[in-house]
Amino acid sequence: MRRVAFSATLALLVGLAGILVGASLGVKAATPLKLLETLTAAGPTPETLVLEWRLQRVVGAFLVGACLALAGVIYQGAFRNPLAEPFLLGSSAGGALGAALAILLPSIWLSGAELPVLAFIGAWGATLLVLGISRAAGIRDAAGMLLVGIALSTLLAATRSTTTLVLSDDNVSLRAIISWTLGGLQSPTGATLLVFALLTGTCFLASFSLARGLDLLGFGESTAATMGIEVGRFLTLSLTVAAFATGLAVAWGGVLGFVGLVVPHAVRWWIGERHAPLLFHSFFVGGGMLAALDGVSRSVLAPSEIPLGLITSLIGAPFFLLLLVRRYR
Amino acid sequence: MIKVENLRVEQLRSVLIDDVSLSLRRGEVVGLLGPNGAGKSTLMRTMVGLRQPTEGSVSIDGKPVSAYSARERARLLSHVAQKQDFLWDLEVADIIALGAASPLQSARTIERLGLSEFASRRIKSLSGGEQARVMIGRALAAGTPFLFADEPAASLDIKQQRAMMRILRREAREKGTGVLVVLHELNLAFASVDRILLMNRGRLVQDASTIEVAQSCEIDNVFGESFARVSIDGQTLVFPTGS
Repeated sequence: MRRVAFSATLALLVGLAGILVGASLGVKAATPLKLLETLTAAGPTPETLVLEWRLQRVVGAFLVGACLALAGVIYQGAFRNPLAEPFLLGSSAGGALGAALAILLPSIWLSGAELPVLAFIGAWGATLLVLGISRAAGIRDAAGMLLVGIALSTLLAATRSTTTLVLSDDNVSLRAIISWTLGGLQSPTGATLLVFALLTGTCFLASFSLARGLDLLGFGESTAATMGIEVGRFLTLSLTVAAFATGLAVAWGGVLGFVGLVVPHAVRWWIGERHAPLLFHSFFVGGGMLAALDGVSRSVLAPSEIPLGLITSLIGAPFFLLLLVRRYR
Repeated sequence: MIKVENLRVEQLRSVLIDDVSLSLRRGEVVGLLGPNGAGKSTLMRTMVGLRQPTEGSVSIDGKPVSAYSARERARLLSHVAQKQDFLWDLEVADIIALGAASPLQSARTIERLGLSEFASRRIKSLSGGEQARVMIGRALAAGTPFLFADEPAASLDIKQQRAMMRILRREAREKGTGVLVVLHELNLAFASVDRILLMNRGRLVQDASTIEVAQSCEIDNVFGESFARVSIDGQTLVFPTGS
């Protein structure tokens, strides 16, 4: 118990440290003390405005990373596949297609709301398609299911590109969508950030109701069923929560590969494979990692930015290869 | 009581279980015996609700097994499968706790099964026999009135096989658990169960007391072996003579 409390505190600190690092880095590096001054400053100056903008963006990055890590843990458990994650399963691509449509099509309902909603629908639809195709084809193994995900991912990305070319009439939406594809973080402000945080918090809390079921599914569907899990219903619920988290992440962070893979695996090496602590730790470590990487993306080539998706792929793809090598050796 | 009535289970066109009727009462240890492919595992999986009967019914305390929710069923029966997946490398204590009705129950089970020395080890680092004991422990910790174990003794050494059967018997005597256990070792079954169900080709060939089954010639027919019988201290032992 004490061990868990200790590592949980450490995870929280990692998350916080990530935000601090992310907020400190940038065109003008700032010390954590400076950040604190900004937050408590009376009147806005150009300098504090920059830092405030940066802080909001970094908190946004934290939420995106936390959502992706959460989705990764749930997908891995629900698909019984340690290599599953939102990017490789095609749910990020589905979310991105939804987001692209939201940008391209004339605003139909509440302005702003259609983007996250369509991103969620895209992520969820893609997940169900992968599950459905795999079931129909009798594919049960990790590798086969990932191939379905990759094929679907490619198809969805191509559909998105085609739709973008056909529908975009000005350079603005084209640019917006391309930056999305590369993992361009949005900078949510004020109320939007609050909504984003609340939705992410809901996902975080909901994921804990899945923890026992995800543990039990590791014994196989039959054993899980005799131990009290209504497997079909549980999988639907899990994939909904995971797709919701993916949709949120895509809506605010674009397509970011491998965060959902790297973080849960690193956390497993750290604290073991039980899902309740795994979900908790992954949430904060994932958030902290992406917040820090956002700082890196803004400072390496300052004043221009490296798209965050490139950085996560540069780190994540070799990690994925490492996992594959370990698995097949 | 669990009651199986005129059960028939088909898969594609082949008949896996053919007109089987039986009952399992609380407090008794029943051995399910038969050659490979006789339908023992299928019968067990149907009894715990993992498979749907094609015809006939399985009921627990008068209510069809399919009418219970998964959660209600998990409070009534435990099932230890023949082969167990371990996707997650959990600690033994955590696995027992996942099945346990309470933390106290979980601690008691670990002690009673002599698992204390493994409690903080990861499941994948254990031998097959040790893993089998952990999975029985997980089922016992649930404290359900019925327990189904599919070849729990298969990967155990002789001493552990006896110990496993002693634990199941004690569970039946002290807590009134109804136990159905698939066994391959005939003499182990004769030494440790109250009643035997003998299956062959999907049919229930014999449902009788242990001593009756040990002495009748049905086992010779079913296994296609002729057995020599020896009686020691009132207990019958059988040996295949190879003809």
